[in-house]
Amino acid sequence: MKLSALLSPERIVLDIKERDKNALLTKLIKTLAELGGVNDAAMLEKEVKEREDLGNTGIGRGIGFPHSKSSQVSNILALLARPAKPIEYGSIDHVPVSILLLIVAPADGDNNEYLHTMARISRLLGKSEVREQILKAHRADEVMQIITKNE
Amino acid sequence: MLALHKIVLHMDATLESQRALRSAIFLSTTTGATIIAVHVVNKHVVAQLARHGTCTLADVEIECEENGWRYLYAAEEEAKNAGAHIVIMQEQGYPEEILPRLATAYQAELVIVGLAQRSRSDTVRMHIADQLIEHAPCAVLVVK
Repeated sequence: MKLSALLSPERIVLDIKERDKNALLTKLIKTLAELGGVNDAAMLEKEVKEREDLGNTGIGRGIGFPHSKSSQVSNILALLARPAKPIEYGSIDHVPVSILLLIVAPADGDNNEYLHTMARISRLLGKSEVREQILKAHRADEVMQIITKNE
Repeated sequence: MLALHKIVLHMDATLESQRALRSAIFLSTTTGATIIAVHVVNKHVVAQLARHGTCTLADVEIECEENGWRYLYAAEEEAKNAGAHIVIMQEQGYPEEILPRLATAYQAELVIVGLAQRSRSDTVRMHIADQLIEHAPCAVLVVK
């Protein structure tokens, strides 16, 4: 599944004000839940943060990729966020995170599709030119176009 | 006894790599060490696949990178489900050079690698494991 199929301008939030990782994750999950498709946002937040405690999801180069399988969703849901300023995320390369992508997939969903989707997204966001364009974009629909064009 | 805080684990598509992952998970859950799972888009392999196949070098690289992320996310899923601490990363280059460098950079006490993995150099077809034992700054666990 392509990232462009999971996102829409409503699922792209630019210049988020939260300044620390915990608050940012809370904000992302709250926003995701407000868009629909999440049974229990509080439970989902607990699950995502517990997974994060077992291993940081910063994949380097300024990308944070919090993800979890959860019984709180029936379909793969995504939300892309760009903090107003890069935040300390504890990534393995120590680079503060400037783009975050939250992915939540059904606990009993197709694992191959989940892994394939995660892999595609990681490769896409690993491209420096894509990251630079996303960082320079002024509006959510511009980010959407960048992703669609580069997939 | 060896104190473990960080374990560098080489991941790829092989069965031996899966066994290496299980060993890393066991050690992580026993000691609390963090697994740094690494997939390397191996330039030797990419060049060889491009030379002998119908795809371009860029296409092969893309496929290897995407497959690498799949192995890494699958490893992460398995490790976290077992309660092990894990972070994942992908690099490009030669595993026999990158793994010792990462072990040094992250001050890992152990590198774990599957035995079947070979570098695809036309001139020096040595096991990555052999190279690692020679160059790693720490203990190396070779899993068969």
